[in-house]
Amino acid sequence: MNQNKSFLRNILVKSIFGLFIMLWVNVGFSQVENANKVSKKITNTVLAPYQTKEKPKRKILNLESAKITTKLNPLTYLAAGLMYTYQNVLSEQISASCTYEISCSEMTKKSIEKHGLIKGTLIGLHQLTNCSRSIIKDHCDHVISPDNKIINRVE
Amino acid sequence: MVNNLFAQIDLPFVSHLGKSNLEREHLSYLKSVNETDSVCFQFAKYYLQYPDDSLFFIYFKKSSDQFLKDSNAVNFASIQFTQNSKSSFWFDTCLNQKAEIPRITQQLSIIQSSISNPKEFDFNLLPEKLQVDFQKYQKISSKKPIVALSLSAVIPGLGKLYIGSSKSFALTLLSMTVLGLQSYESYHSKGIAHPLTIVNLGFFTTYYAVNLLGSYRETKLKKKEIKTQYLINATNYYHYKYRPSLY
Repeated sequence: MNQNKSFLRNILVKSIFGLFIMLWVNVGFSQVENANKVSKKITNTVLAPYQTKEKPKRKILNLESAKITTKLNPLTYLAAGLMYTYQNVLSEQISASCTYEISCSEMTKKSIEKHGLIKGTLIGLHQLTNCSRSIIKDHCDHVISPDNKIINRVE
Repeated sequence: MVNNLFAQIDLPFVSHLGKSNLEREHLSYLKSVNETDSVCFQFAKYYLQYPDDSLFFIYFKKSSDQFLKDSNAVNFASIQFTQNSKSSFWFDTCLNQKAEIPRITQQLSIIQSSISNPKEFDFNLLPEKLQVDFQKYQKISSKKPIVALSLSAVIPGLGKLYIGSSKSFALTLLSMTVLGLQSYESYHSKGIAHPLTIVNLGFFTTYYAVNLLGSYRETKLKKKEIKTQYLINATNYYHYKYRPSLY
């Protein structure tokens, strides 16, 4: 029994170690992209007075075409609020970058708007669990954008 | 706007407008000429060059005889409609006409029929370069979302391997194994009522449900994706090989 326990602990420790390595590789990838982002930000700030295009403002939630049950559910607003906070505060702090063109958080929000809280959250989570650079190889050429992101749609 | 300024259409001038991509001038000139069959034909060509499907079909109906005689225009339209939702309508209209159909349109109609009935279609009828894409499409078209869901229920991520997403399968299986082991460990060491076990089992169950729904949805999306890729490749193949031009 004790041997079994120690064997399982070993596997657990090893798998966690593997997970950390995967995370580390992902962070490495995102840092290269961040370097490009920083240079873009600098040019944007320098050229700010000459730029006429404004960044599109993100709506917290657009429930115009949603079902009544979705509109009345307070958890929908809680989830949308959490997503909004993440997008506007956390995401920028950790300089998160997504493999998909519609980012995981945006996808969750839009799916909640379209399919309701439970299905929408599950769809968003599914994208989040598949948000890895290696997944790109599973897709056809026409779904990959020039900046190497997967083109996705809210369906 | 000036209407019906000219009685007859100046074809070399229209050709020049089309070749130079002068969209506004092109449209205003066509609007300024009396509407005859040949003007409707030019309008149909205009709405092919600057795509507007509904207006194209309106003018195509008015000038179908003249349009079908111009093999370049027919081929151009066929290439444009191959990826379109109105493709079956276009090819049906073409095939039902008495006029002789150009070769590229015939080939593209074969591709259309390969999509509607992939199981019984003989891939040797297609050009060599498109056979691999078609076989991929044929393979995926027989996959069923419910089977992918059931497979994922047995072994997490197996549904994704079933539709050919091996990377996604590996990622899902790895994450599920880690979460499963974590839950098992906390259940054995701390018991079922411990908050850590409840949290771990919660994560595991949610991830399991996400994986089931994901496999089901991904099968549907993958089918669409491979079909679109096949059509894009077919369009590109005929477009770059024969390069039909409107003017």
